[in-house]
Amino acid sequence: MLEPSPAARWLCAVGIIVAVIFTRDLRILIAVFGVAAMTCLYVHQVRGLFIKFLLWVWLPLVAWGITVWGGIVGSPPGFPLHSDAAGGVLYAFRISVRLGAAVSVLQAFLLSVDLEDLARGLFSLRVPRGIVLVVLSVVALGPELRKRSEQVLTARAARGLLNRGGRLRAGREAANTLVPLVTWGFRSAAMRFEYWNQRGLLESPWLDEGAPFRMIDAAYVTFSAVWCVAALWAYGNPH
Amino acid sequence: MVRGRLVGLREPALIMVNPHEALLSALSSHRHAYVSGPNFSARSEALQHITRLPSASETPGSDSYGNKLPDSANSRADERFAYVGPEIYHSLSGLATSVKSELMLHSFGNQREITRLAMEADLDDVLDRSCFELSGGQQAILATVAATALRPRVLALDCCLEQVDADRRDSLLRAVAGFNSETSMVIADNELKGLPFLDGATELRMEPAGDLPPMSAERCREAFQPRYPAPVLRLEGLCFSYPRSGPVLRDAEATLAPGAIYWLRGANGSGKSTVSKLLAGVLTPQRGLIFADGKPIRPALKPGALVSYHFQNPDLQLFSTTAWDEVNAGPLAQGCSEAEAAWRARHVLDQVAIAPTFDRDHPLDLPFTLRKRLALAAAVACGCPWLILDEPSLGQDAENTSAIGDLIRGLAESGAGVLVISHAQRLMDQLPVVELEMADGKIIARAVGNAAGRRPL
Repeated sequence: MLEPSPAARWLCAVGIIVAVIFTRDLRILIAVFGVAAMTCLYVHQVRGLFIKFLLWVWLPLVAWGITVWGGIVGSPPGFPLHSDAAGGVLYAFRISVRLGAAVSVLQAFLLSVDLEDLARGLFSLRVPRGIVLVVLSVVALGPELRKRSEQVLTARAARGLLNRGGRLRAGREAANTLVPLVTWGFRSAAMRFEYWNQRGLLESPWLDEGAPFRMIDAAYVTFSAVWCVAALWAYGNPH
Repeated sequence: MVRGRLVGLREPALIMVNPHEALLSALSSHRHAYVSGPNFSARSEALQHITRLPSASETPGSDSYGNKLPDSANSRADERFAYVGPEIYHSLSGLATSVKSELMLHSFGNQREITRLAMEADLDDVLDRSCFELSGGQQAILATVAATALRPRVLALDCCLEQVDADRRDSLLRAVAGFNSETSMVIADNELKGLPFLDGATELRMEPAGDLPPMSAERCREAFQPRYPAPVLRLEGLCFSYPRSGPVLRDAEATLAPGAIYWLRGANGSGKSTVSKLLAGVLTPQRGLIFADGKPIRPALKPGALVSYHFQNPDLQLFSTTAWDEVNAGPLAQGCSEAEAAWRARHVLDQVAIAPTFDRDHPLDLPFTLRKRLALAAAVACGCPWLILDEPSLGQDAENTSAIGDLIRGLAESGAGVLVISHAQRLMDQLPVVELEMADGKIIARAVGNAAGRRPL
């Protein structure tokens, strides 16, 4: 019942991410990050992806930022070196929280639904089909590349080129995996594009079955729009 | 008759008679046409042209030879065309998260009718599964049914049904033909000739011309010996299931001795490829043991050492940036010296008739037929004592299929163990095989002998 429709998801995601980018208040950013993170952990479809993001991207970024701005530089940008270590730490933390909030909002709103629902959302917002095609290709590329990298590793293993040995081994094999992955990714994208065009798949009536816009959607969109405008106003009037 | 001529692979094919006119003329008198011809007779290109796949045409409204598309002025804007090629993976949209979504995405008519068609094609059990978790044969059926659901004006099926069970092809084609009376079907395939469905269809034969020789049977028989003697393999109580699907193997048991050719058959999705992957060590059994000469082994600890696996889909097997590296990598990984690896690579490339001029080409730049042969060569070059060949004759014409049969026979005679998974009756009929069947997650030995005299076990 509380789930927004696909169209509302797009509007909310864009509104909130813009607001997150322009919000300076760390408390608001932490609150948004917290709520979005809890949502991601609750929704089964993105839980694993979100935990991976936290462990493999966000936490290392926090550690790196604090080391650089709090330790090596010892100050936030625009200040003399080693003049304000606490300010440097705060700066690094704010950047990390902002990134975390933006990514978790993206995951909570957009990656928690199927690709076809994302397409429906864009169609019901009257986004031109060509742009929808590009957006869908980008969203579909991630899982496709992951699947392909598993296939390349399997193929190399079957040829006796690696003993399957978990992440460490996969990491070492990354260089060998990357070339076929990129080649195949581009080729696959080009071929799919041709097929979609030939078959007119983006004209499919099934994608036009947009969900009705409900009161709850209006509430989500209004909230994100108001916050977005307020954040932009506050950014333009810092005092 | 449409005559095709291919001059090298780096130049476009020269079709001496406009294929559109020939095909359209055939379709005007018959609803379905069957395009026969050997490899490299531009069959695929003709089918891509008539279904207006953009890659086949550089100028909108014209084909790549500058011929104006004959029906472009008369076609309606809402007319659709569909081409399903041998690269099934690319015939799926990639947009849908399940089989059902894929069918609905392609549905331009009554959705209930699509569901009925899916049931007729035996897809009802897999409707909620991801398209990419299906077996190769099931993907081929799905791609065909999805393309049918578009209600296209012309539906071209290019060698995609070769990996579908032989006894399902006719019923599938009948279901597809019965779905929409306005759809004309053009079929090019190496396995469908003689199918009852095609009795009333017009046949157009494409003739080859060019400098790409077929595989030589004589050369194929010159198999080299495995790098060490092949052991007897015994599978005991193997169990395996994939996430989000039921058990594929249930206490599967079999004994495989080198020197014989085993033909593992079974319905699409019955677990044939899974057994192969367990033996090759790219999957680990969830229960059960594999023995080599009586000693328990775990192929997953050293995949690719005992068993060399030729994948059904060559695009999933190829990973190098040149054709030469692709074949050379296996022997080097098996511990061969550079000279021996190079000798093995050249020997098998010669066997599959891939000339040295292709050595520096990217494997994915080769046409499907050659990619499949390259993948076969890469598996054979490893010199492993056991070989598992998954649909080795996919996309190959009669002459090349026969040569692949000779290659398999040569490997078995040299002492290697060979397990073949194939839906190609023509290939298996020429080989003396031990016939194994997968059913209900088990492997059952059925018969032994060749097509002339196969006796039940």
